[in-house]
Amino acid sequence: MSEDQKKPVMTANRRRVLQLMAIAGTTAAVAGNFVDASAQIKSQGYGQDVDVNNPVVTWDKTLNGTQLKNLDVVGDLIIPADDKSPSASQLNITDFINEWVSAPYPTQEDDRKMVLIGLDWLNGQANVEDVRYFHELPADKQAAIFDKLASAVEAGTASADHSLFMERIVYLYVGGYYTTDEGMEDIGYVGNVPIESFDGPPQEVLDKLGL
Amino acid sequence: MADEFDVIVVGSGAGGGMMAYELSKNGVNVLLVEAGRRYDPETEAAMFQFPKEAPLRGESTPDKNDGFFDATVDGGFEIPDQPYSDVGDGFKWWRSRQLGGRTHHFGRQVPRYGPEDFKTHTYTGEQFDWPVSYDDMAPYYDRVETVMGLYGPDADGAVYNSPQSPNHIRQKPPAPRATEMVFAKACEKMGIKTMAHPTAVLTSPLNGRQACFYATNCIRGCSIGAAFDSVTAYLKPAEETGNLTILPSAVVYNVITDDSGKKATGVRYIDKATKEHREVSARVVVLAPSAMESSRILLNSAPGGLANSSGMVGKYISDTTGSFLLIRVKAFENLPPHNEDGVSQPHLYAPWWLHGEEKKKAGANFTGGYKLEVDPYGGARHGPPSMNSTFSQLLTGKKGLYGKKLKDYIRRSYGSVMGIRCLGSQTVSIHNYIAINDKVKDEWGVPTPIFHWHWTDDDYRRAIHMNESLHSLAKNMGGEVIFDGFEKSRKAGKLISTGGTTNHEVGGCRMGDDPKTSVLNKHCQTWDVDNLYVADGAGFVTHSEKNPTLTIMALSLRAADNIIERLKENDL
Repeated sequence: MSEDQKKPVMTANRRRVLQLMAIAGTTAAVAGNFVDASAQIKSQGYGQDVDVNNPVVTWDKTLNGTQLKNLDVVGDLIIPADDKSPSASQLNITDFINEWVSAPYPTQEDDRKMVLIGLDWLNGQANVEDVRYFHELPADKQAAIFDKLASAVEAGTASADHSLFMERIVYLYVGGYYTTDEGMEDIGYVGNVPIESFDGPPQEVLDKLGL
Repeated sequence: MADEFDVIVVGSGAGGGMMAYELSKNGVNVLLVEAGRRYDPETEAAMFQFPKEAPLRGESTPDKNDGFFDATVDGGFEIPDQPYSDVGDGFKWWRSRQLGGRTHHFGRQVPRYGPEDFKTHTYTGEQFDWPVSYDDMAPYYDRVETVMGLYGPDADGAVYNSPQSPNHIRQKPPAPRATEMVFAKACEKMGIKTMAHPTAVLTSPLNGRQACFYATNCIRGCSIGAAFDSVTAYLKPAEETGNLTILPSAVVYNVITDDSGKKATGVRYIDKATKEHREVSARVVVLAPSAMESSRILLNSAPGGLANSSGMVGKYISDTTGSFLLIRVKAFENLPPHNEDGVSQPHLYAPWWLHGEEKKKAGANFTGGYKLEVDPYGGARHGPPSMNSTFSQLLTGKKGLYGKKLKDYIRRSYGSVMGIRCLGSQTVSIHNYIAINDKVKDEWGVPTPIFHWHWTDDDYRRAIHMNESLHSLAKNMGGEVIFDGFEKSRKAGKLISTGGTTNHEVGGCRMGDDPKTSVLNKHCQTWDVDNLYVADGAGFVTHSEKNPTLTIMALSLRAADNIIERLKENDL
């Protein structure tokens, strides 16, 4: 199977990020008293001959405390706690976001830029409310600002970089969250166990599918 | 190294592994030269680790193109200091540098080529004939399958031009997944027959190898030997004969000949540890470093290329063509949790179904065909949830969704978004070839390949038909298409992704009956150099929709028979 066909969405994103980088540079310069979106990651990746049974993250996590606090708020707006599973911050998914955006690979470097641009915008909105950082706002105001962004993205009226920020940050939190034990339990993934024989789906599934 | 070997085999993947196995089992003294390091899936494969246990949740990076846990060592589409370039519609070259080559990363799909695939010109008036027929190859398929091991469908239910392994060789296939049962029902509505996909995975023990336990992705390598790979099935038993010497981390870049240029005396290689250039000699040289690398070595071995009196070395390279749709099938929402991992390969497929008059009537005005299947480890509930394969797909078309609504959506929809795909033939063309770039050298100073790659109109006609079939299939499965990777390219009249990316690249040293138009004879022996064979995918004359690995191994086994016979007769 073609590997690049299995990753259509990522490929499209990557292309779009590249197109947006020129614009993003400008945006960062305007809003950039808080973050430096052009900061380069200088550490090494794990290489092409890696001990897969002893995985090691070979780079340092680079987000600062304020950025992490901001992201925790964003993460919980994306994945709040409910009666079935915890919130993103309760599973410390922000730590995974930090690992991701600090990685020395092109996709992750692009995501780093988008995430920092997005946080810059959220902090800019907080400034309007006379608070320096987004995470310092009252919860209802955080929700209102985030909803304004999400609604514009959904309606297709958001700017290209806001749209991409929303798309990527949701993807990263969802991907980080639902690959944890708690996330997999929430969606009901029950595989990755050795079984004697594979006999097909259980009767109740067949019934529901009309098979 | 002393001149103590009967045969040097270059490369240890499907072709080289098969060759080393058969020769050493028959008392031939073999030196196997492999560019990568030793690799043993029994101790190295990652079997049950979840994505969360890897950096970046195991997602693809430039270091590991198919994800952290993929078995590939020192390989992928890009390798530092091992460059290549391409001209035309684009080409990417997947490589592995490890004992067993690409058989660890291998999707394990092992369909046989059919009678029309070997004699395309005879049957259709298009393309070319191979110098061997299906009847010539059938006994070799049987023998390869017996050692390799596979599960497959009931051979009596095989459809035209997709012959199946005999029932006494193939093992029983696993039951279809829920997604595949819906796929089969949709195909039935469309008048298309489905069956188990022949797959080099054991469902019963064989030769000390265990049966599959229906978990973990085969591309990680298989520590229990259920999934076939060259190390487990060929090289370990071959080493036990005492007739096989393995020289790892040795990069072969030339075949050496005597002054006449008609007799190979050995190969030149770089010892990666010391960076020294060395030579080793033997009575016979077999190239099996991968189809593209074989052409590169021959073109680099002599001015104008070795074994190239026909001018055909490097010519007529081909891959398969792929097509893919992401669909949302509402019926799969809110299903009770159930284990859909299975073997990480399709349990079912629809072999190409249109031939002769039926094909004409269906407007399928192209050579070859394609097969249909459900993407086995991507989307739905197939395999441990991962970022790109599961959630990127689920989030497709859901811009702006967040919070409680997002959580509810994911809970409800998990398992309902899946990929359906095609694998198709490629029309071979003289315009697709490898040339050598003397100006750009790799880290060892060896000139690098330039891939000239141009899809033909025939390929585009086939690709449009593939895309249309997938849309019909989606509809018949009750699915809504949420992503068509070819939507944009379709508007431009181009529906094909980059060459090489279905990882089935073959050709470059095609076989034939005529030394003027082919590089190899029907035994994969070069016409020009009597004791030089090419036993990887380079000998392919045409490329059907079937994955090529089984045919590579069958050709290699046939070449091994010829070498053994000639050694016995003292003809080499």
